[in-house]
Amino acid sequence: MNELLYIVEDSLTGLLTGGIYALMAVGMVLVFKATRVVNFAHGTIMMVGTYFFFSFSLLVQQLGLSFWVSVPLALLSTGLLGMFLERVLMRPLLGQSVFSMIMVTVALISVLEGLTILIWTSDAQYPPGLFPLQISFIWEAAVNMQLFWGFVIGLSLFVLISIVLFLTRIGVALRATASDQATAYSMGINVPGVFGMTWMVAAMTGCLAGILLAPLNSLTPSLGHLGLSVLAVIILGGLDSLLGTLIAALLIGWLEAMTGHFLGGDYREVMPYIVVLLIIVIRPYGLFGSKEVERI
Amino acid sequence: MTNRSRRDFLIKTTGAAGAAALGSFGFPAIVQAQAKEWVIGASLPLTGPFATAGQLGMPGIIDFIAMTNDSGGIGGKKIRGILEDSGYVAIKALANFKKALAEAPDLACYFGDSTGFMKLVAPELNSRYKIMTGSTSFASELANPSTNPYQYVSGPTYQDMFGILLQHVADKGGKRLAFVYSDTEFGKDPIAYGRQRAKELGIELVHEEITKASGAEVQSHVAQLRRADPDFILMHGYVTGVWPAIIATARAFGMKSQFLGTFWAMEKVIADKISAKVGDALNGYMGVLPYRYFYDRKEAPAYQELDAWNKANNEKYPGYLVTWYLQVRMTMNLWKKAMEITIEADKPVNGDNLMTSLASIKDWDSGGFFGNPVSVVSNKIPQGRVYAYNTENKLFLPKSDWIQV
Amino acid sequence: MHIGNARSSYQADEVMWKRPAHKGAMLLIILSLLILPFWVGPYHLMLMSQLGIFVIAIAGLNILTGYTGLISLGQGAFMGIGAYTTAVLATGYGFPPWATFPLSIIMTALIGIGFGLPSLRVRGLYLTIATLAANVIIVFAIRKLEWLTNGDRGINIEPAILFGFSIESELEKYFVIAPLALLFVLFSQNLFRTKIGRAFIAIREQDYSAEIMGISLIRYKLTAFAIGSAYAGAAGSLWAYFFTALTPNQFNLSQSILFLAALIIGGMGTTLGPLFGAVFVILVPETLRAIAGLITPYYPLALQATAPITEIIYGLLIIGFLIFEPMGLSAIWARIWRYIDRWPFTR
Repeated sequence: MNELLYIVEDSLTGLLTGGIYALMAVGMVLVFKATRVVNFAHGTIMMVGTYFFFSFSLLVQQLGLSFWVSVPLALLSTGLLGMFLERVLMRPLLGQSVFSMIMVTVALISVLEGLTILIWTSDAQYPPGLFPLQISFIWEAAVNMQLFWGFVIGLSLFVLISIVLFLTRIGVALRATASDQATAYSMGINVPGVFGMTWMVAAMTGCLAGILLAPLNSLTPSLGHLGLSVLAVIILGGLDSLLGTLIAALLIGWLEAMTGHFLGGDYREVMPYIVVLLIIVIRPYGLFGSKEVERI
Repeated sequence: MTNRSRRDFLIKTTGAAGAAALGSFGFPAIVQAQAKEWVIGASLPLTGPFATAGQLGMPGIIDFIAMTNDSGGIGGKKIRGILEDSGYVAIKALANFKKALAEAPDLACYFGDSTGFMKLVAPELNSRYKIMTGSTSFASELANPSTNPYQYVSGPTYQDMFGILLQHVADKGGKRLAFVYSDTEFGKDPIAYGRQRAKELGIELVHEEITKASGAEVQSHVAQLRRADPDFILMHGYVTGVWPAIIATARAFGMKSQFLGTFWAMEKVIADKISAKVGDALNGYMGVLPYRYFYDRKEAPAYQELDAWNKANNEKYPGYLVTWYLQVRMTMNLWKKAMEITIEADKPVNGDNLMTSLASIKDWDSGGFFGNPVSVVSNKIPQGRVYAYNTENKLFLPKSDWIQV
Repeated sequence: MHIGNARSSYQADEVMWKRPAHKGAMLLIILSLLILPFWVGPYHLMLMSQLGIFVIAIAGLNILTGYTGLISLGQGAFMGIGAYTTAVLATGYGFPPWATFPLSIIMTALIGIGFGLPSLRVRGLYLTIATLAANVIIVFAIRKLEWLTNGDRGINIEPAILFGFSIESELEKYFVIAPLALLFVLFSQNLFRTKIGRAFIAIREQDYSAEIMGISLIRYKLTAFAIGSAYAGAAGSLWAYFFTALTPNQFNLSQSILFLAALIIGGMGTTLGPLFGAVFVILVPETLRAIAGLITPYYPLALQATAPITEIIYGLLIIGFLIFEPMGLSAIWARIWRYIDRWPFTR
């Protein structure tokens, strides 16, 4: 009987963790949708955003304000950073192979990490948590409220982004750019503007994910490496599908928890990659991804 | 920022060089026949996952060089350091090592950044280079003169630390024990020994939880621990991350288990930062440290000297030096001691003689780093003390006497 | 527009030495590879040997990625398979180097074919991520197969013994690695004068069209994986004897990323690309460190800042190349030759 409860408890934790994965992945998916680039540096941008949050939280503390004030400040500055990176690094590569753009994001990891060490040093920091570390019980199963709120925020953000994508002009512009760049151009859509906007929003979601993650880990310049582990999520979700990403994130979170439960903690980190390899062999375009049309 | 101003130290060094040149006449002939200066090399993880420890530990070696040179060097000769960043990548550290060798073929000592590097360099060290090599590692297999004759450990090994802690658990009547360790070589090092030792002491090992070294899903791991319901939880293989989160989460879960740790995860600065955030979750966190903490310097003349020197030379000195700094410093002090013994005996300075000298260290007064006089046994110093963190006064306070393993 | 291509027959197009000067340059390179090691110190010899190993691994990646268009982020792990095959055979079963070297190549090629299977269904980004996953899984497997590989504790290997000589010093290692590296590069150059090589290029340009023209995708894509991995296996085997101690994390993802970055910087799909790329990724950090080394003796704590600055400049250089010279260093090289060719009709 206990075993069943444990499985339920672990499943719950896994699903909640999946919510944070979704939040980490959504930025990568947005950028991919618009630009066909997988941003390997997304996790690093997340890390830098968290440092912004950390610095602002110290600043507002000195001014005697609530640390909540530092959240919008951090989001804004990370958004600007994302926009800046797109303008300076991605824009010149428009029209080049997507592959070079991806490699630029890889190189960006060392640049941003180096800068972070210069600015903030590599001392471990512990920024304030948005939510207190507290355990609640759903029936008998223990739930970490930090994870829970992360999950709620992740989910709401997904809904928000979906609404924006499907109901607003900006969303239409982005979807048009995603489906056919040339046509989007000819219809008068400001395609580079869409790119900049996407990078900005992606960076902001990353920053939010980092703020939620940091209390669960310590904040060091290598926090960004967590970003790589959500690659599995976006592949499983099909790279360009928001709904797919959400489901994939929950699934991976749950699978990791079950791996931890049945095989032990050391197998957790390899699990997503095994899933990715299987998915690619069995269902290459993920759960919900759009199959690319080949023109010969 | 960790950068500190040391321009004045340059001026002092030049002055001291003159004094040393005069002094060198009084030393044995063989030392004077050798190189004009002692060159020591070091790789430190200034970037990468353990950058915190590397950045804060590095001044340990720089201050060592400056202080030793201030007081006339060793055997009347100055020390020159060749320091490099390794990023905690063993093959980069190996390249650094060979680069230092190319620059100074008669390298007197090398300081490695990891267990990985120590293993990588061991074969060539044994067969070709024969250089006395210390490191940040307390890995058990490094303290073995027959397989690693040129490497030493500046304290007890991780196994010894486990031994001390398990003895403590047994003394407290602990019945149920769990291990939590990172899935790295560092994390796994003492585990096999720990299992066996727990069995000998009649402690039941109820659970082993393996985590990532950073960014672990703490919540899931703690859930597993809670079910196993151990009295004592022994954690190993972490530096700045994971361990505080595990304790804090476990406390939030209402777990009453006693948490135990080992050297790298016992830094006051980290514990303070965590406590500022999560309250008194860390209260009572216990672990083995080979050395005194820096604030405990009443009976430690070496610490007082460090304190005075830093006050004079370092504008940003906060009045406290981290345990990682002390570890680096102790490693260098051991080398210095070995040098002095070798020079005194009028033997040429080389790896073989240095290691022989190191092994001959008996009842040495370490200036307070260690509480009791220490002896080198199979290239390590098997002494340490159990400390427990107290959130009220933010100090790790001794919980045992100095223990000889 | 590249003008001045005066070739009028296919034979002329596929000759190995397009200009007499090429032959001369080749001779010069071989000569300097023979003389240089006696002139530089052991540290630079070590770098040159490391360069040789990198060149082999990157040349393999070039066959796979540069010529066949199958982008791989798994070359580091394949090198790990080669290294561990050598280490296990040499230490566990006492195999001599002349046996471990080819066996490592065969082993890696076979495993490469296995992980190449996804390439039959996906390509581009998906394949890149499949190989990335392969890298993580392979390294994880090496760590977990403790009875075979000794896990995270790593393996130590006795120095190679060739013709009664123990290959121990940097000079000896160099003279084993350098000729092999040259051989592997020449082989890859030659490969693209054959039917197989041209099939690879056809697949890169458009795989469906290639299939319509009668090129078996299954066969040639897997062959590309086999050859690319075989190169990695060779590099790995040399790696094992070169470093004499192996731990699994020497072959993790960052190694693969480094190889791919090197290939891009060097120039994909060119013979000299791997060489240029390897020189770049080894020399640039070295140069940056040397510059930093000018400061640190006087101001030791500067190292705290120079280390991350080195990282930043390294990243910026790669980005700079991708933005301003996307065809890599080979393109610059080709431009220089064109300039010489057409002189005095060049601007």
